[in-house]
Amino acid sequence: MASADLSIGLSGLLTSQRALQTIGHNISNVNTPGYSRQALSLVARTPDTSPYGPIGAGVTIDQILRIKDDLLDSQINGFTSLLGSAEVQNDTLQNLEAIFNELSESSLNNRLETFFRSIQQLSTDPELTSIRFQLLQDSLNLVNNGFNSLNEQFRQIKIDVSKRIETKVSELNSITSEIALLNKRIGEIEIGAGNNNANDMLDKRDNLLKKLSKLADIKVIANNNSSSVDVLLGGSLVVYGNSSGAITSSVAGDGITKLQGISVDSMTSGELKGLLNMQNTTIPKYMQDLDTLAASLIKEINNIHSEGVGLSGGFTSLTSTNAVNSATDSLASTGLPFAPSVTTYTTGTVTSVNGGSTSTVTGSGTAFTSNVKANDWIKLSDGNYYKVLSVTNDTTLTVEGGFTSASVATNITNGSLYVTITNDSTGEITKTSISIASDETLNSLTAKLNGITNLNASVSSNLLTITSDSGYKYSFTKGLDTNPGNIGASTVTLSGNYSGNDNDIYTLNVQNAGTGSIGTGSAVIRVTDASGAVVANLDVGSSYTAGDVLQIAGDVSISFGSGAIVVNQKLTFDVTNDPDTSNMLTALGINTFFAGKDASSIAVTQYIRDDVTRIAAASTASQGDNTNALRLLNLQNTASTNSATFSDFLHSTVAKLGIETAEKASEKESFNSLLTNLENSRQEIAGVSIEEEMINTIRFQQAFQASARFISVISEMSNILMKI
Amino acid sequence: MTTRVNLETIINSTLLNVQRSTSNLSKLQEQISTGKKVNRPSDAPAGTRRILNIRSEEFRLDQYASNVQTATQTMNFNSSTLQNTANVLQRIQELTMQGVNATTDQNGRNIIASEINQLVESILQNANATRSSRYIFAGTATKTIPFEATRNSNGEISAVTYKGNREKIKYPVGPGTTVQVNQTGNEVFIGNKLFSSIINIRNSLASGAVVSAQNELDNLDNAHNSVLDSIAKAGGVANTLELTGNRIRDTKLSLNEILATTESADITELVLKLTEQENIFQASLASGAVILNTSILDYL
Repeated sequence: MASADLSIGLSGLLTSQRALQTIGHNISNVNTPGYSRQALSLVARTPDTSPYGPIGAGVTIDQILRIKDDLLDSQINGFTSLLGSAEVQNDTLQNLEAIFNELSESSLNNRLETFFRSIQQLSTDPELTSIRFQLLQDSLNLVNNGFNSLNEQFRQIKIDVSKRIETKVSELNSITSEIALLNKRIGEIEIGAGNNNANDMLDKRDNLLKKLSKLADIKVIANNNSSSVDVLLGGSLVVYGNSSGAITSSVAGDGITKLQGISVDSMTSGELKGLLNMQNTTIPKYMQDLDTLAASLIKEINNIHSEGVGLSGGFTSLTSTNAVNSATDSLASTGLPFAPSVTTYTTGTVTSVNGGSTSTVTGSGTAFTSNVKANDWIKLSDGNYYKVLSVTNDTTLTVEGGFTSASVATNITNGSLYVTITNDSTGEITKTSISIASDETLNSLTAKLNGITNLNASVSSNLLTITSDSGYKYSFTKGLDTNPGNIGASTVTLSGNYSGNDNDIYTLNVQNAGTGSIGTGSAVIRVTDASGAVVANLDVGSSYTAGDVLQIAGDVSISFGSGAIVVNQKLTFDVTNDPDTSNMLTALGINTFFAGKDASSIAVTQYIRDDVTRIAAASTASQGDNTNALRLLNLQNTASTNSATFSDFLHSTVAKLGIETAEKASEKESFNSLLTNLENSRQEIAGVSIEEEMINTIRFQQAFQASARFISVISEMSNILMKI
Repeated sequence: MTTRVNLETIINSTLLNVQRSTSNLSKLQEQISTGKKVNRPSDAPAGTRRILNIRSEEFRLDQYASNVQTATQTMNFNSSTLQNTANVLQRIQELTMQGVNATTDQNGRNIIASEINQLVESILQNANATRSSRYIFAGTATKTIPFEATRNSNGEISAVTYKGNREKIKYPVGPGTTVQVNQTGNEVFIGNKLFSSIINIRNSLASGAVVSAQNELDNLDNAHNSVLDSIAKAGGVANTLELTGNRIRDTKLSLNEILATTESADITELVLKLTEQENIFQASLASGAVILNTSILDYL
């Protein structure tokens, strides 16, 4: 009897002790992250048998429970992933915003406006060299402190982001291997014996899974009643039972990090995805915008600048600054700026033709794709050109093509080039137009230029040099030939600045000769354009005095000297608004203002830096002529960059960045408060409450005292019996 | 409703609220100290675009305004030079009238001829006037002396040739808008006709060829009218410029207003908000302190 009673008392004593131990454990872990409170599940011991039926045998511990809600945990993990990606993206975007710094005085916008303000000043004072120095200084500011420095800072951020990716990958690998280890140990404990729960290790694993969720959106598959978990990330199992698969990262060209072993596309959130998103999409997008703006500025300014003249009024010798790869190749694909850069591969073949016009090219070796990026061109050993759409991995490219020649994206178009030759002593002007085909080679172009009287062109080191005979100057301006010749015996003098849309040829034709000379009877001279349409009928009858200035059209004026005219006498002359429709001068870099082709390479040409009087404000040899400066200024209002003006394009890029940053900031904010709510709900269930634990302490303390008292009573009873 | 509240829950909530308050406070503080509502594009992306547009526009307007000013000064200078010329021409007309009058003898005509000779020199000076070392009546050939005089052995002007061109100089005064700020010598002085008729009159009077001098009077009158026309044109351009200048100023004012409402912070409102946020911040700190200090342990 006594032994059974003592054992009942002992079970109460021990159970209370264990319960107090658990309470102590809970209290100690009140601040442990991821800790779930534990509680004892108490049951009555299996009763003893007695003649009167089963009789109670005390208390025992069924199991130590971990109190938590698995659904809540997986919700928390999901939002942790979302918060992770929003956080890192917001951080990076804020960095980009700070670099752009568009609302400050030193913004690209201000530099661009200052550049055009100097052009405006040049237009009001074309004679002053001080204004030209100012323009040079402002251009250098725009180029060096604007485009170049922004591009460099963006590139630096991109490299920083790739370094963070590497750190995150190694963090991820250490977490997954720890999870695999915990899987093993939990298995050993739980599978071995019935009701054993590896509570603390489960907490630790759950906490690791939460950390992992911050890095990437993982999918957790629980096996064997949660004693082991598999982790699925980006379509691959990174934890499988007791083993973990490490993700590898590799640094490709320009410090860009790529991941192997998982599919980045199937990841949707987490810090890793956020960083990859920044590195591969967002930062390149803004760098691309900057490049687009720089390229458009270079092209547009150069197109106009090359068609003007500086204070010298003309050139005697110019050498192109952009070398071609070969003087016998089409100018469209021989390495000039804006012509596609072509990487030639000796290995690599088209391995599969996908839908549409895309194909997959596979090569070998890690260096196969390191030099190319989207929109580059490659030439394979089959002799065809392919446009790279995306770099899939180290050895695979998705391409468009093949094409027989890389005949896209070049600045040179079919068109014509007007060359003006001025005789220094007489001031006489000869304008000659040569036609330029888009597949012109440097040699064929040289031959055409050489065919112009008093002009010499030659190629050396793949550069074109154009010189004029002594006593002559040449230029490529739109200025009119002011003395185009005589009609009948009357000398024709032109003035003004043709502002029509195209290059045209005007023909003067005597309709009515009056009484046989200018200024008599009802003499009329008709002006028609190249298509034969009448531009103007000029009244040179009795009310006209020789030398009077008449307006033709498009701001071109004419005057006739006295002299005999006869019906149907004709005189033709060229009027040009765009003397280089082929844009050949810009492509070759002849008399250009900017050099380079994107934000990293844009610069002011050495040619201009050497001598600011070369800045082409004029279209004629007159020093006070500002027509070309006005044309340059007009570019400010021309929608030339993706159907927007330079500043509109820049403004919308900045606004785009602002929207994206604000979006990520509010995402971060809302995920953060959602997560706090979820965490609170988790605490509600799994958190340790000191108050509760203290009350339980009292409860089990009293139970312990009662059990002890019971034992002492039993002991007294035994003593009484012994004395009998 | 949370039923099982513990320390961690309270700490988390207090932390979140305190952080939110401090972030609001620092945002308000930034706005007050910079005086701007929008300090980075993400503060107000749409507003950012408007601010940038206005800034660009202001840059351009400033330069247009400065161009209008330069152009007005140039036109005024042209006007006064031409007014001077017109006065001299009137004097020459009077002298010629006097010279061709039968009451004037050859001696008197010689004196008149020599005075006219002086006057033609002064007109030549006016015609070759420079401003900022640029010839104002030379077309775009601003560095070429527009009227070149040939002199005889006595040093008197015997002929004048126009060496400038007929090209216009235009200043930008708005997007794609220009205004012509020069008058060519060819236009004002009708080529070299003004000079040749004065020279004719002088020579005729000196040689006593009264009829020939009388005949030139019509040409001189034409030339005088041409100069007066040019003055009127310069005045017209100056008027247009004034209107343009006013329009630019008005536009700038209204842009400033838009910029102020888009970008500038309303300090009074912000200070009120700051006080409100400060109260919230203090309240959440105070309540946190009270709750966090209370524990069952105090009663055991």
